[in-house]
Amino acid sequence: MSRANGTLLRVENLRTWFPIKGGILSRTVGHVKAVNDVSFEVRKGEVLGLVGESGSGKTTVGRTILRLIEPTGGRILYGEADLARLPKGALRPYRRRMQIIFQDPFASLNPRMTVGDIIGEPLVIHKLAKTPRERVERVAELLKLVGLSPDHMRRYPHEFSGGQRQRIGIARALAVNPEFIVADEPVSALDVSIQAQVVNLLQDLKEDLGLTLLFIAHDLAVVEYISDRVAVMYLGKLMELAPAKELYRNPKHPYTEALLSAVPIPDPTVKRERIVLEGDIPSPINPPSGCVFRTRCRYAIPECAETVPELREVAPGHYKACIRDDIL
Amino acid sequence: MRRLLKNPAALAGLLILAAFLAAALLAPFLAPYDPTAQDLAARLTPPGAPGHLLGTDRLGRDILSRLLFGARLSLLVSTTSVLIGLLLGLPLGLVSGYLGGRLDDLLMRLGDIQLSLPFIVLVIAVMAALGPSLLNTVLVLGVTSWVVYARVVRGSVLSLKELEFAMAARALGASTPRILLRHLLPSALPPLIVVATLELARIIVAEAALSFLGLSGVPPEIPSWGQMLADGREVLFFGGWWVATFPGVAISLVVLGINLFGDALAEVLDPRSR
Repeated sequence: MSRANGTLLRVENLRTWFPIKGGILSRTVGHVKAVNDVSFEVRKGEVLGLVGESGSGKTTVGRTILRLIEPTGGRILYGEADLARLPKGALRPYRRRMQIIFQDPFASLNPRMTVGDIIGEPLVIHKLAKTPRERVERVAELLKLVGLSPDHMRRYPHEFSGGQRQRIGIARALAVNPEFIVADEPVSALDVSIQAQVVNLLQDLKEDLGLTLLFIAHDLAVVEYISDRVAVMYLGKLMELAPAKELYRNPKHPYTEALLSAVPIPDPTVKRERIVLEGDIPSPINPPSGCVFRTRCRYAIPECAETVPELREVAPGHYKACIRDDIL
Repeated sequence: MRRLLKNPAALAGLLILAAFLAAALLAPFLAPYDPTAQDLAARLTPPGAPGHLLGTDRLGRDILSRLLFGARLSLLVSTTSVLIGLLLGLPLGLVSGYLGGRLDDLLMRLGDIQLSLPFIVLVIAVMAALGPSLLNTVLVLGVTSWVVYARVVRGSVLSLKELEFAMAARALGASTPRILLRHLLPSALPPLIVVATLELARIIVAEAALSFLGLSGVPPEIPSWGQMLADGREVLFFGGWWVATFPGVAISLVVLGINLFGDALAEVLDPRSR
């Protein structure tokens, strides 16, 4: 991948391994390779969807980019800096530029703080409001921006529904005027009827505020709707990355093909083949040799166990990590 | 505070505590006798006898008077010890749980070492080194109880820091002290309040044990509830049930009062219970 001018964030060979401690001396006996050599870039103003099943490492990618989890290796190039190597204290200015929206709207808001304090806290931390009055005004503005009422300021999180809480979380992330937001499964915990509202809100905000989003989800339909490009993860590795429409119409990787075949089509007359993946996702402690997907791939050949497939461009802007070109 | 007073349990707890505090402060005016005055002719008078509402002990000392004066020492020793323990244990637990790593290992092993030493042996050592006095008694009781608080807080922090709101605070660039004090401490307090109320009761009894062994550094002529319990034990099987019962009831009432108040406090602090 060449470094385009419009690149906001570039992740190179990112690794996040969690040590497994064992024995009485707490020695490291192995690693959970949650993210293993992942590279991609996020372009200014785009929504990059990141999909994969539970345990694929997609959430870890998002949190590692924000250094909420320490990377084991690789580079996170943002602006002029490599966030992976920046000392903790030097991260603060970047915390104003990049934010995160969490999956669980019930765990992500401090139950003992009022909504006004929750949304106002980033303003205090980054000294973005000169007077308490100015802060209250800004909080009111943010609440209106996400479709809530300024009257909600004095209430506590438990008084709100899941969708409303997620809006509060979004308002908090927007308080610092970030340019980049990691949306970590922002609608997975919500009722289906509310999901569309929150996705639309994110899309509107993205247009109005010129945001760039890394949209993490396991729901392919939601990702297709909001994303410009989509990256597919499996067992800590990227399998395929392509413009959204291209990926959905023309998947090149067997894993993507299987994922897409599981998306329900709201038309009972359409018949199609369901590809059922046998077995469970293998353990990230001891992933399969070569291609990590080969144990569940219906196209696997002996060579798949030998080489780790590189993510390579197979069509303009369309990357896949699979050694076979004779399929799909 | 207004909500606290509207809560019947909190109000009951507060009244009990206020009554004991008043008793302690006004003991010289309320007590019918000198708490140390012996009247061997009236020894082991049962409660209800004229002049001795709650009876007398083995040496004929008036139990009501001793109870009132004893409240001073017992309440002073227990509350200051709990405060000292909290002052040490709370910050250590917060930091230990949040930062983890070497510091956490070190602090928790130190705690293990301390808990593995028999309390009495520890006290004998300290008293031998520093000399017995009321201040040293309070210090020993307070300082040694840090482990309990530190462990409870550490446990809460370990689970709280993994919650997404703590992570959100980090993502916003909040400093470690800010995360600890604004985000983790408020949610870690309720279990701590419960433990502190239990500790208070334990320390009243521990002081009694020290008095009994002559290690408390409190001159024997100053009455304490613990000392009275110990005295009462000796006559318990010879019909003198009241000598130990009344200080026991007093301790229970104080603990009850603190528990009621503490629970209500924990509830009021939680906006979800509103």
